[in-house]
Amino acid sequence: MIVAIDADSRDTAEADHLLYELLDAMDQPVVACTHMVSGGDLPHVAVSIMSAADLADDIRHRFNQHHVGLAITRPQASEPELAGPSHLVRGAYVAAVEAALGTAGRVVRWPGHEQARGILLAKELRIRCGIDHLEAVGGVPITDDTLVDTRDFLRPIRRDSRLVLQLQPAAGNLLIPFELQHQQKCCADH
Amino acid sequence: MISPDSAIREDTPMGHTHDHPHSHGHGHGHGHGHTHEHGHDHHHPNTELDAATLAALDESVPDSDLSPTEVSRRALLRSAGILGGTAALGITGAQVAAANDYGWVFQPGNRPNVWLAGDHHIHTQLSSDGLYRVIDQARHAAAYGLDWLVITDHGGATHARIGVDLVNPQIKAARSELKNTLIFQGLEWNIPAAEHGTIFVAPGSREVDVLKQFENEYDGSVKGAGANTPTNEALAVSGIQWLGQQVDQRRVADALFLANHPARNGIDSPHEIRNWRDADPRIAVGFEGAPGHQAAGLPYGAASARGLYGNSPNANSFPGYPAESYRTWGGFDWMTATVGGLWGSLLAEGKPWWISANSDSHQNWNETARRPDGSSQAQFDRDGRYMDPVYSNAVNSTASDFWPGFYSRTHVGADRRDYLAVMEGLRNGRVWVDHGALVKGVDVEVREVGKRYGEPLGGALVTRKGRPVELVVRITAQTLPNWANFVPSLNRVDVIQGSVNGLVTDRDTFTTPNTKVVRQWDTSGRRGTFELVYPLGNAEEPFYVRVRGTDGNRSQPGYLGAAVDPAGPKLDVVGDADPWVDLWFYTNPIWVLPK
Repeated sequence: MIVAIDADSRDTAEADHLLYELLDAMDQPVVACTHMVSGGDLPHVAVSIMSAADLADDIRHRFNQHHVGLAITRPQASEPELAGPSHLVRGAYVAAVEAALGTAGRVVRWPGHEQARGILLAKELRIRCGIDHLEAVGGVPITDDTLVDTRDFLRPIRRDSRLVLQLQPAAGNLLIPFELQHQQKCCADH
Repeated sequence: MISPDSAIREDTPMGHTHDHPHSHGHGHGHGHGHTHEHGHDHHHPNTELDAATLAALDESVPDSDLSPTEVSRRALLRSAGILGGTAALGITGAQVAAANDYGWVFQPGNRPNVWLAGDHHIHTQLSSDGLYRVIDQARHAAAYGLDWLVITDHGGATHARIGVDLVNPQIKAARSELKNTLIFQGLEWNIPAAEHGTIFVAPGSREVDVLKQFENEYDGSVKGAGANTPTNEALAVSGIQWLGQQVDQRRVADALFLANHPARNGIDSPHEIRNWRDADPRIAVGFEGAPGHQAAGLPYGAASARGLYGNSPNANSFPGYPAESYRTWGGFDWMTATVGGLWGSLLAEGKPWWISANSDSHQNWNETARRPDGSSQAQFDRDGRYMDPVYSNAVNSTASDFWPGFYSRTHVGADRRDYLAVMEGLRNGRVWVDHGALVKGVDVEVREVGKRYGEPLGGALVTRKGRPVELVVRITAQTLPNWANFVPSLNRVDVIQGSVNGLVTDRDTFTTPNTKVVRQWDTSGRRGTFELVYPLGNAEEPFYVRVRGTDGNRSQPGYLGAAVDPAGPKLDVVGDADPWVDLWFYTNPIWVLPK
């Protein structure tokens, strides 16, 4: 099943924190993603959690008092379960469908993520850490023995139902994640 | 009016992937080679989905065969771009079309009488992330060889309330102190729904009034209009049009807008850039080909991303932009650095759009000033500016910026050495840019073979069909050391040629065909002033040419492949981008329009 929540998170960092809170209470294997919600009034970020376990009661209970959009889809159901204010239901439903199709989504937790720490060989990321494919921006080549400094923060993306980790070159002949944990805010005091 | 809008073609090999803003990477075209005859686009196993959602996703089933619930599900999926259909492009055609009556595209070319180096993107203590006085910036700019500069403090509530007033006496004092330096007042506009941009006006009795009213009515931060929505996109277009009206009403003698760091966060979508350009082409004239913050990648300094281009997409980003667009390439913005890329796709429409290179100086590398004790954010918000900087007893080796003129220069060909002539030169695209004083002089023209004079940078050579034409590049090699105290070597000069295809049908187009590097000259060891001539053949179809050069230290095949650009600028490495060993110059284009 898929549970998707649109809590109107302003950016991916805020959505990540929502997922951390939700996942802290779970010990099931999940694929947890963030999803860009655009085309509406205010672009923002929703989240989805895919799991074999039934998370619906927990999530419903948790958000009982809150103004979030909720979408729950199950394989046998005739319809999705949708709840919450309409502008957030849309984002939650979109997140659920993207998660199901595997066409989009930035992945925060997945089976194997716990192995993906420190500096690893590219092949280790594929074999031990559940990453299907690695690619580096600008056509930088990657071999099995290319070193990747995960910086303990990986956010692969889903594409064609595969887990794709985007990388970039860094000092010291290493590759590092294309998405770094700390994003430069505009007008920051740099 | 010269408008080479003859053939409107299907213009881009990538065009089908962004028919509307959200199709990229969603829903369609999963690369399984399936045909769309049955519309079963989503046939891979969706074991997690309910029946109603699966029905809504199956586009072979018409709306009329769906239950009301399923229809409403489908509408939701359409609105998010997961299913095809209309997605709002953010702006009414009417708003832009109404503005498009000015009737000129190219100004007939005079050869510039004087080249004036400048920088249109500089912050002071009147920015919430700034430090220096106006005179600090202006004196350094002048000492480092700039002839003109624009003070562009950030738009925002405090600046709109008092900052825009307070900076003016500082600017006027600097003008009288530095008689040979042209110092414009501007601001860094938070473009509604988009990035930042430079707005500036010709000096005059109403320069503050116009900037202040503009900021209060059209700044994305002041108006809370930063999000990527159609309403906010329309506000940006209105702002550009309003500036044009201030010129028409002679409240100011001139006004210009150039977009800053356009690809940094992926939030300047191709259609927004086209909409700005078309809103008033007298006002909106270009974008930064190279952003500031060029010290940010210094491995012995901030060790961050060159240009502070280190981010990944956010919720406001245009989904079609690839990861590569979020980094600089040889210090230049991906939109400009990519041969046949976004800039090329704008030029291929046969409309002007120019590039610049600036410092974006806030706090400079290896500098010794700091804000005094007691000068805080709260103090800034109250007073509209930070207190004057003081000596810090230390070197700031992790600051990201260079002083104006220290590294980045925008060279404007002007009739005279005055404010209006600089603005006119910028508007007419008589502009080339360089980093690290790579070259002393660049003069480019396109002429009919046998003629003595042709069209200068930014011009359009209108010639009889079939006439032989040629490109002439006159380089003056650098003789003086730059501000890192070495004499740079210009080791290669490239010619880029692109066909002019007329207006695009999809305003989110960001690639263009028939555009590539057509000539590479080895110029290593060349001294003095030398001429490079590239025969352009007989003019049969409209096209443009532009020129770039490099020290040749770092190159790689361009983003669109080696056949387009065999040795273009290289993707900059985060944390390891020494800007002094990766120098480029770029010129604006010249068009050839056979009639």
